[in-house]
Amino acid sequence: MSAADLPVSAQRYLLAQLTNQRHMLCLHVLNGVGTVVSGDPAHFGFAVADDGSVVTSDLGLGVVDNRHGLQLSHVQLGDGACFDLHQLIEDERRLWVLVDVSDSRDEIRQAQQRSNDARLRLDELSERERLLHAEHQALRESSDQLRRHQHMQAEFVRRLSHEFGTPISAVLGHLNLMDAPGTTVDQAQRSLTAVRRGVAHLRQLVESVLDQARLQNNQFELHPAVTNLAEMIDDFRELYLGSSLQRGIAWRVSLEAHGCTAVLIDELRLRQILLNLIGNAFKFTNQGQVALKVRWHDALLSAEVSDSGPGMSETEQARLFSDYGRSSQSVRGTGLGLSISREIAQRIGGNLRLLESAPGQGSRFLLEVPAPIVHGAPEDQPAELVAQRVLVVDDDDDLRPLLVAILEQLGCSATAVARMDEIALDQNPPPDVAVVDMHLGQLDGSVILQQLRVSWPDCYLLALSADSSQDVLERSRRAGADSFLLKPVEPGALSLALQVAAQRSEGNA
Amino acid sequence: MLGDFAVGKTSLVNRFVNNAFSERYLSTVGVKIDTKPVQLPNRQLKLVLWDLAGSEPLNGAAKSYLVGTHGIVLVADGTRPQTLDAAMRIHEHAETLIGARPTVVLINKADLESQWRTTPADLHNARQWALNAWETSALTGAHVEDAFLTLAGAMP
Ligand SMILES: Nc1nc2c(ncn2[C@@H]2O[C@H](COP(=O)(O)OP(=O)(O)O)[C@@H](O)[C@H]2O)c(=O)[nH]1
Ligand SMILES: [Mg+2]
Repeated sequence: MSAADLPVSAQRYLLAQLTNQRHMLCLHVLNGVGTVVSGDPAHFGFAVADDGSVVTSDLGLGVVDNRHGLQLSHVQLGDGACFDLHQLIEDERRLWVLVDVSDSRDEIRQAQQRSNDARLRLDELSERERLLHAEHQALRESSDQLRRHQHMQAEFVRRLSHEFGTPISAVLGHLNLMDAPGTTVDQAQRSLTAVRRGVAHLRQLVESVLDQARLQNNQFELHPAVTNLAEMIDDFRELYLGSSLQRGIAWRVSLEAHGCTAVLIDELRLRQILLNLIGNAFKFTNQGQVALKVRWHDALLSAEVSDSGPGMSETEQARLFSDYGRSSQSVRGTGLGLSISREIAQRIGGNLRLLESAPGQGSRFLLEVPAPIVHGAPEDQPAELVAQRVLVVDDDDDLRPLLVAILEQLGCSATAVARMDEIALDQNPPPDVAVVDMHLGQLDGSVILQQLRVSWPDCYLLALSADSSQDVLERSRRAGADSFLLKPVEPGALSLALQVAAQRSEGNA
Repeated sequence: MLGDFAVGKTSLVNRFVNNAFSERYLSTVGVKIDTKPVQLPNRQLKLVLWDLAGSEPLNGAAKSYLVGTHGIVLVADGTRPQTLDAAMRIHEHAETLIGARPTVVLINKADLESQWRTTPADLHNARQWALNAWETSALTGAHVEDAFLTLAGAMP
C-alpha cells in the first residue's frame, strides 16, 4: 500500500511527521510555482525566488500531469540531491512530497554500472568475433584460390612435360636413326627434316613458356618501330601458301589501309599474335577457307582472322582465353597461345577478342591495336583538309616554321607556338587539330595534351616525337592523344593524319 | 533523451547545457533534469531536458517519465550499430505510450572515426521520418547545438 491510497487526512498526518526532516521537502504547487510547506528546496536543486517561492517549472512536470498518486523515482534536478517524488491532489491543490534517495541511487548505480559494463564488454567481444570471422572467411577464400591455382599449375606442368616429351622423343629417335649403321642418305635427309621440325616446335614451346613468365613478372618489353604494312601482309601470304595448297584450304589475305603504308608498332609482337591466330585457324580447319583481313583506319590497325573450322561451343569459348584453357580438339600447343596473345594485345594498348563462333560455323577473331601512321598519303586529295585550323606546339625553332609551311601547303590554316603559356585556350572556335611535341624542353608534352583534351574536347590531338618507345606512346595515349606522329614528319603521313581528323570531326558533327 | 545506455545521452546534455565533457562513464539512474534557455529567431524558450536512464525495454514506470514530453532527442552510438536498432525500438515503444512527438536523431561519437560503423544510409533513413538527423560528438561538440536548437524550433 502506498501513501497515496490512504485517506487524505491520514496522508496529512504522516506528512506532518515526516517533513520535519531535512531530507524531505513538501511543496504546495500552483501554476509552476511552489510554496514550501516544510524542508529545504535548494537541497533538491530548486531555484528559490526572493519572496521564498520555488520555481517548480524547472522540473518540467508542470501543467500536463495532474494524476493524484503520481510517483517518479530517482529524479535529480541539476546538481541537487536525488529524490523520489510523490504527487497528491486535493481540492485542485497539488502537493509534492520529495524524499531524498541519494543513498539508494548510488547503490543502484553501482549495480547497474556493473551490468552495463558487462554488456558493453560483451558487445565488444561479439564485434571482435565478427571481425575475426570475416578475416577467417577471407583467409579461407584466398587459400581456396591458392589451391585452385596450384592445381592449375600442376595440370600445366603435366601438360608441358607431355608437350615437350613428344618432340623430344621424336628428335632423339630420328638422331638415333641417322646414327644407325645402314641408314641411307634419303632416310637421313628425311630424319633431318623431322629433327628440324621437332626443334622448331620445341623452340616455339620454350618461347611461349618464357613469354608467359615475362608477362607475369612484368619483364615484358615492347619495341615499337616503323612497320611496313604491305610487306608484313605479303609475308603472311607467303608463309601459309604452302600449307593452304597442301591441304586444299583457300587462303585469302587482304589489306585495306586508306593510303597508309607504314605504322609505328612492335612488329615482332604483332606478328606473334597474328601467327598464333592464323596458325590455330589452319590447325583446326580441314576444309573451306582461312582468311586474314587487315585494315588501317583512324590510327587503328584491325586484323580479322576467320576460318571455316569446327567452331566452338559457348563453354569452349568461355575457357578460350584462360591460361590453361586449350580447346579440346587442339592438336598441339601449350594452351598459352591465346591468353598470351590477348595479354600482349592489351599491353600494346589494344584488344583481342572472339567476334563469333558456333559449332560447325567456324570462328572469327578480331585484333585491334593502336597504330600511328608513319608513312602514307591520302589516296585521293581530300577536299575537307582545306580550311582545317591547326595549332602546332613545338619548341624546335626550325621545325615550327617547317610544319606550318607543310600544313599551309596542304590547305590548312596553321599557327605555331613554342610554349604552353602561349596557347590561347579561350579561342573560339578552338582549332580542329593540335600537333603537340612530347618533349618541350623541361616540360612533358603529355601535360599539354591533357590540358587541351579538357579545354577542347573535340580537337584532334596529334602527339609528336622522335622517340618511338612504348613508354612515350603510352604516355601520349593516356594524356588523351588521338594519334602519334614520328619525327621527322613525313608530309604524306601528316596529311593522312589530318584526313583522319577531318573525317572524325565530320562524324562528330 | 532516449536511447540505449552508454550512447552518450548524458554527455550530449552536458555538452549542450554546460559546454563540458567527461570521459568517465557514470551510468544514469532514473532521470536527470537540466534546463537551458535558448534563443530562437522569434522567441525565447526554456528547454527542460529529461535525461533518462537508457534501459530497454522501457519499463513500467517509463510512462510516468514520458508524460509531458514535447519532443524527443533519440540517440545512438555510431560505433555500435545495434544501438541504432535499439533506438528505433525504444522510439516506437515511446510513441505507443505517449503518441508521436517531434524527434531528432543523433548518431553520436562521430569523433571515433576509425571505429565508425554506421553508414550514410543510416543517416539518410533517419531523415526520412525524423525532423532531421546528424552524426554528433559530445566530445567535440559537433552538431550538438544544431540538433537541440532544431528540436526547440519545433516546440509548441
Ligand atoms: N569519444 C566519445 N565518447 C563519448 C561521446 N559521448 C559520450 N561518450 C562516452 O561514452 C560513455 C557513455 O556516455 P554517457 O553520456 O554516459 O551515455 P548515456 O548512457 O547514453 O547517458 C562515456 O564514457 C562518455 O565519455 C562522444 O561523442 N565521443
Ligand atoms: Mg546517461
